[in-house]
Amino acid sequence: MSEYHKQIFAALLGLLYMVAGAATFIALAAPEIRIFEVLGIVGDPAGGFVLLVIGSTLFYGYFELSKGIHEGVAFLHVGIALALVFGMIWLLSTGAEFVTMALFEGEPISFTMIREAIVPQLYLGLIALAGFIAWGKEFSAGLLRD
Amino acid sequence: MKEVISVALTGNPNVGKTTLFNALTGARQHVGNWPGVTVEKKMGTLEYAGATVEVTDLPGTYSLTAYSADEVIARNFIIDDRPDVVVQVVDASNLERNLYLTMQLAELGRPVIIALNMVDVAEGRGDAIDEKRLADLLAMPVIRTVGTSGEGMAELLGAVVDIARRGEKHTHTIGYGDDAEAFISDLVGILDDDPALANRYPLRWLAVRLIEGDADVRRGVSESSVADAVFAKLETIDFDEYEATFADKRYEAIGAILPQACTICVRKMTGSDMIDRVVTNKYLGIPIFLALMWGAFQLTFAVAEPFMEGIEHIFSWLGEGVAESIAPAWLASLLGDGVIGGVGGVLVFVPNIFILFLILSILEGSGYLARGAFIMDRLMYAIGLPGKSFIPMLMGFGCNVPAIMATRTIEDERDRLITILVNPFISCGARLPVYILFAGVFFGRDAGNVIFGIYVLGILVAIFSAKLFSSTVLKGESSPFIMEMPPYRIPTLKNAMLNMWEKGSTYLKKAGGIILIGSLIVWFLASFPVGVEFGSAESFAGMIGKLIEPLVAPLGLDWKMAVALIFGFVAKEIVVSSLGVLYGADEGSAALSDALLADPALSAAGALAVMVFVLLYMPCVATMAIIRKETGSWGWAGFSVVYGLVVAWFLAFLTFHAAGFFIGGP
Repeated sequence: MSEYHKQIFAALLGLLYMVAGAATFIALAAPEIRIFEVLGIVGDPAGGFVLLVIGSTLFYGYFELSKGIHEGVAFLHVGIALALVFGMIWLLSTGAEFVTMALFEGEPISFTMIREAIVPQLYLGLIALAGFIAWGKEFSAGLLRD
Repeated sequence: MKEVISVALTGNPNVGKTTLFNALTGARQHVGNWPGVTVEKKMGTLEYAGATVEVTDLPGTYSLTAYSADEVIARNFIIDDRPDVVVQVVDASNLERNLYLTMQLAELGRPVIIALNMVDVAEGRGDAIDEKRLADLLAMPVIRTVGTSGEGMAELLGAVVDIARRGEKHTHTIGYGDDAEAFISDLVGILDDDPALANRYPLRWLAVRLIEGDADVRRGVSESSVADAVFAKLETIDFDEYEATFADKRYEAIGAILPQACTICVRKMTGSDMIDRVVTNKYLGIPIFLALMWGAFQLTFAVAEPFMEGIEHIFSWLGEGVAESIAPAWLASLLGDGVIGGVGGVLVFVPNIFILFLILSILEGSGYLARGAFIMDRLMYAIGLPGKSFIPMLMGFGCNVPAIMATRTIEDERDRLITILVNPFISCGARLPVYILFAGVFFGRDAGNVIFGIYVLGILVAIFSAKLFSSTVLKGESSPFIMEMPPYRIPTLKNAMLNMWEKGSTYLKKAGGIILIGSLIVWFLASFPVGVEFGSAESFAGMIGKLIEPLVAPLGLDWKMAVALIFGFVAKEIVVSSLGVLYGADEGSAALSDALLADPALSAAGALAVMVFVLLYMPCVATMAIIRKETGSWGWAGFSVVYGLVVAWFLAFLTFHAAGFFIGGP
């Protein structure tokens, strides 16, 4: 895929992460605004910070690529990697929580709990996964293996 | 008389100087695959073409700026001992960085030969280096060598003997621009008036070093008859600006040479280059570092939860079994309250410890932690602190004892002392159980955030303490930090697991040793004198705790916490095991959690104060002993204890009252 596709991908995904991060902080400052809950966004400073960091990294990549700086692709790749790492962290954390509830607390896992567990880190991470499938090999080719 | 030719072998760290030295002289010096193996000069001799060649292997150096002791040794040898030939060993696979030293060597006016080493690695990677073109551009001989196989040794020796016999000195230097050159010329004119200086130093090099603000050279010139005139001239310039300009000019020259001599050296960015471009970015580097560290603690807390619950259930079952089946009652209490309540209360956190070490091992193995040091160095150096100290600080997340021993790599004694004194503020693994216990009980889903905050607080206190020491009791100038970045690697699970086991198993050993003994002592103190209720205020433990209670009461803590904190001095995990014994939690940490939650003397604000106090209050016995050993002074070890206690008390006090205001007190 061309550099133009990478540019568009970095801009859109970066924007989505930044909007989600900003919404997380809005939800924290004004919990009475419940509109974001539909998107799994609740007030969480650390989660919001992570979303903003991923979004900024991707958007930085977009800016460099749009200025014709080829090396800006590094920000796209690292942004995708960060999105996947944090998606995985959320997945493992939620999984561990459900296992604890099911095995030791005898609490059944309800549909509402599953719906609440679907947060931006997870569903935006899926979009990042698409980027990883498209450009992952190009990124990891230069890394050494033990 | 037989002809003797002296040769200095110099170059960047880890370019294969010692391998080349061994290949030339037949010596068996230790060779390592990391920078800094050679820390002092070594000598060897050989016979070649009728001459005795004396080879001196100098410590690796990135420049002739001489920031560290190793660099001073290397530079002074070339200047003072005036070897007939200087051989710079250059890593052919990393030409750009290596040629910076070449640019500086060229200014010394000595005959220089380039040994283009590791050519096999560079060519294997696809680089194409034209050494003849490189020799023309540098105006010095360039010989291809492979130290490990001995390839190119005869050619190198031939060039050494040839250039020494001809007595040819290197005269080509790069220009630094009209203004700088005019200033250099003026300074050379002044320096030339002192014959002692003119005989000892190449004057152009001396002038450049003075303009770059070299402290060592300034000291040398200060004894000269022209010192006043030199320093008066130097007063008019900005050293940092000139140093930056000179560095730019050297890199400009390298940038002009490289594409002509190495057709495939200017290569496409690798994965490592790409990651570095982002994670060391001026704006994004620190936020990414903080986000990843937060992710590590979130994972440590969340993923360990089902494992912790499992271990709790095992200890609960054991505790019930002991209570039901063992007689007499005192033995059941010893095993239930002392051993299971104490050691069990600590073992329950083994999953957290292992998961944290696994994540740190993966980050370390991948090469990212080295970048963490680089990113934080910029922040630390900006506030005038020793940047090199961040590596021992990172090691402190595991255990402060090896971290303090690692400060031996810091050359400057003052920097080293500051690093030792602030290291106990970096939260070691032993303190994690305390945070997990209190954060889990009082902060539920936010426990991961709270623990992350505690770790960040430790780093901040360490940084600000270092700043305080460097501007008061340990005044001085910090040396800049030069660090070679290892390439990124995809770490294997096997290596990460081995690393995790190596570090985590010491925690298990402690549980069976010092923590068990500590728990038994606390059990004894909580059980006697005979006839008192176990763990009551009338027991020995209660008497000791009541004595100290007035000191911790302003922090929202009671006598039980005071006793636990005293025993935490032996090893920080004992804080948890002591609480397990004192609260009679013989059913694992679930019972202890419930007991803490039910204790009316404790609140969320008090829990935060405990975590802050445990983070900062004093180094454990082992850390104190290593501080004494490494500083050679009981005074500094005592200072570390007193300073830690004072800082811990004040910050815990502030935390308790601030948190009480925001989230409610008892």
